[in-house]
Amino acid sequence: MDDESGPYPRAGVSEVIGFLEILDDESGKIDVYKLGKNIDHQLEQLLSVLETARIFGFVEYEAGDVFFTPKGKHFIQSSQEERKKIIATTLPEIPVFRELLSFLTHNEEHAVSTEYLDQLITRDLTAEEIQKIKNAVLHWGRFAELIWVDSDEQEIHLEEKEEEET
Amino acid sequence: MALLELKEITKAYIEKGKYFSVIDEIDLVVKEGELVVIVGPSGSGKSTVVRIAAGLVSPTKGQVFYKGQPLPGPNPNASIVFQNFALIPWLTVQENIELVLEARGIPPRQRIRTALKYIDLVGLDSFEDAYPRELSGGMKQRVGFARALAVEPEILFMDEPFSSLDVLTAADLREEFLKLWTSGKLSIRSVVMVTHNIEEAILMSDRIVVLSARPSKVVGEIEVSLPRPRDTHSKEFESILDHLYALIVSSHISK
Amino acid sequence: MYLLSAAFWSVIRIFIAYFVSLLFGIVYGVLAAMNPRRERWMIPLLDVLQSVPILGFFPIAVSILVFLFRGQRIGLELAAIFLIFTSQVWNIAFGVYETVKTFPRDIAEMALSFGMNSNFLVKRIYVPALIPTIIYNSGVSLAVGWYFLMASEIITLGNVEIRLPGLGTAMMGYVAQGNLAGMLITVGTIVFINWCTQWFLFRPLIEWSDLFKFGAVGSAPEEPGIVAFLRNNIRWEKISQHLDRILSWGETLRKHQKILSSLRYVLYAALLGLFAYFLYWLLKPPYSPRLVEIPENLIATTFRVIVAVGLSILLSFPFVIKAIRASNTVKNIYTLAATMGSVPAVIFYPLIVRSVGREYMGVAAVLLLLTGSLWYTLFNMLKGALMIPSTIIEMANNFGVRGFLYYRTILIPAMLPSLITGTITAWGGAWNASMVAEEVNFGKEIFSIHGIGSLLLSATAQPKELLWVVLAMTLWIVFINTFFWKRWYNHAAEKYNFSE
Ligand SMILES: Nc1ncnc2c1ncn2[C@@H]1O[C@H](COP(=O)(O)OP(=O)(O)OP(=O)(O)O)[C@@H](O)[C@H]1O
Ligand SMILES: [Mg+2]
Repeated sequence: MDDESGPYPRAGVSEVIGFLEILDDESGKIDVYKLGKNIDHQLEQLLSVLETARIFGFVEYEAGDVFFTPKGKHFIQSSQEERKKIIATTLPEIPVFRELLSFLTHNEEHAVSTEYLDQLITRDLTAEEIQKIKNAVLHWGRFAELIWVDSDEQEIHLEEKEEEET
Repeated sequence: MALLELKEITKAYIEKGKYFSVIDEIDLVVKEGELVVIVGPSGSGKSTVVRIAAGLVSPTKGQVFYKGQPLPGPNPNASIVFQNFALIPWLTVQENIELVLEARGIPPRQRIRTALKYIDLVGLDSFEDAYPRELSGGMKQRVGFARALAVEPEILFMDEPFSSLDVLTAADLREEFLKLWTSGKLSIRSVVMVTHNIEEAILMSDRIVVLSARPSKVVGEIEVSLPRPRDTHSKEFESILDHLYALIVSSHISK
Repeated sequence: MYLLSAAFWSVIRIFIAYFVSLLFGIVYGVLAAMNPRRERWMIPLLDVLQSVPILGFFPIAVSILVFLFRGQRIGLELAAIFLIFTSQVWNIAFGVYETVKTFPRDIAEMALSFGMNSNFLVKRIYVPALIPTIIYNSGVSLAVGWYFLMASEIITLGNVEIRLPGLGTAMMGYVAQGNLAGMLITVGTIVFINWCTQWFLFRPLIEWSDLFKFGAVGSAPEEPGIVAFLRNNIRWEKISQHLDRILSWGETLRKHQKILSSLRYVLYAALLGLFAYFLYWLLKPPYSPRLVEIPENLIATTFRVIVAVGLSILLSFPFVIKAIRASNTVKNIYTLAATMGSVPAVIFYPLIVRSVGREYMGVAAVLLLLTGSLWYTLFNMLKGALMIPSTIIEMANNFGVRGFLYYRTILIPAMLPSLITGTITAWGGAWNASMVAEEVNFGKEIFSIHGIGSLLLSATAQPKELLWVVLAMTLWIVFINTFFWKRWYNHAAEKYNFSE
């Protein structure tokens, strides 16, 4: 792991979907300062949500405006099941997830301690920030039904594919 | 003329044996008569900048100049208003203020006179014998202001002074502070304030300094020359808001 | 008259020990908290000292002090005071340490930014901020002190038994005579003294000390009479000047840093040499044949301790459940437990042992251990039960989670961290009680059962054997603490907390 595995998603599922819903209400394009007003100028949340949505390829930012990509537009208009599928195909394109998923597939038990994520997150961050990223990563992975987490053992497991069962 | 000047200030901490850089070569000039607001995402080192500027924390690299002279330790001409008030619970309002006057070696008679004067100024008369625990958040911060002003500093630092208060109380205190500041009744010549509330930054400042995420640098400055009191709904206000947001978001995204 | 003078001596001993503990505890706690380098060794040391049965070290302290003072009474008094001191001090030191450690950062920055120098800071801010911890822990420390007082007044040195004037000795005298009235009056005196200090001193002081807590809300507490009295009758100016002088010594010392640090190396070298010699002496044959008895006796005591701790937990449950059902009874249970806990149960012990006879002394011993451990589980479990958010209990009621399911899924997991804390402290308390539970002397008659405590007493005549026994016991307890309790606690504290 010599190169950085960033950028990292920091925002959770509900936050990002909530933000996309707002954007959808504004017919797909909004001045970023109006978005700020909408969420009571919570700078931290604004930045993390925007960043995460961009990592997933749902929105673009240019010269003070935030707008949907076609993928984002499609995502927000989909059903819950379809949204999960979209995320499931998106996550493997993101470095942190790619490393995690490939580790899980190649590992015999298809499981790894959550501490493994600490190694993946290579940038200089405080413990609090790392925890936030870990939470977001696990949240998205579970949402997409790619992984499940054994909270008692603090272990991440690969979700068995349904076609393997049948 | 520059009252305060930060030159190429870097601050790093050592955590788990690793060097952990918080701010990276920051330059900042605070001119006489100016109210400067520093904004930036959380954890970007805003509080660290203020503590270095006030001489409480020494920088890893770079130097702080006050009135052109290097600052060796805590600046005796500065005082600070804290986010969580930092009041002593076993002292009354008046005793809290007298305490810092005593620490500055002011004789007892004059301590009482000065304390009462500033208690009046922030509108806390008849509360001088109350303990902090009996006061609301807004009143506690009034004590915080009175204490900071009572030592009659030349420069005032405020680290998110309104962010532990509810929205209405914050607006009230903000207005009152601005009135005092513009009235010229205070000894203060310049103010440095930290906030992560963008609207508040534009409401109060003469100039806004924007910090990036850690390790933070100054990504831009915006002069705000709107007349006071400022109207958040005015065209000019919105255009500054737009400009400021764009500055913050694009610096964040390009990182 | 005899009782009055006995009570006088006992009270003097307790209070001298208490004031020394207070001073030592504050200095130790502050020193440990202020400097990370010191903290690294001072806190683990504190941990060990807190968890080993202090009574086990008593014979060693006695031997040393008797040797130093050539058997004069002052040496014995000092040994007694030392024993009580060791029972009181760690608790205060730990409280002080934690308070300084968690001192609000913004207050420290405020002090710095308004130019307070370190003397001003210590006198006007640090010392007042320590008041709540000191008062709270003092109440506990004094109660604990009584328990140890009883053990400290009768000193066995080999085959000689020395009795210091005091309530513990008085009690033993009455027990030997079979004088029931005398026993009752003695116990009554102890309860009365305790009740007075708790009621007139600590209850108002604890209430008042709330004023000194950071982040407290609500109306300010009243100033108790005793505080007003102290304020008006003590010349604080003088004390403050003396304090300044003491603090300025620190400054002067710091100026001679160089000499100091070279002195420190000399000290280290001396200590190392001493330690090496000690090891050599300890390991040099011949070994006492009784050393092989250590494991067997350790296990016997461990077994009794486990039974007592288990019983303590079980006995605490009804009170805890009652407290959750009707939260207004909590205060009563608390007060009752505080009063009962301060009654030194040790003093009844000889009586009980004599009446149950030799065959059942094991049972009596477990009972005594119980009095040394029950209060710890009860206090801690009550604290834990009270911290369960009321919404959780309402939720359980609402969804009809009751009976066994309720205990298994909600009550016990929710209380687990405090239950474990209670168990750990109870475990320490029971070990301590073991030191007096396993052997009782009535003049020539000796009642004794197997265990590390009786082994210790029989070894007092031979320093080397004594040291071996104490060392083995200490290592055993520290081992169990670090490899069992600490791990369990960390695990539970992480998993079962409501602060999500
Ligand atoms: N004494 C210290 N030791 C180690 N790290 C520190 C110390 N003080 C601050 N930091 C770190 O420096 C970083 C910046 O802290 P600072 O409080 O200056 O940021 P901030 O912009 O004021 O944040 P916030 O918006 O949360 O107030 C944080 O990540 C913090 O963890
Ligand atoms: Mg801050």
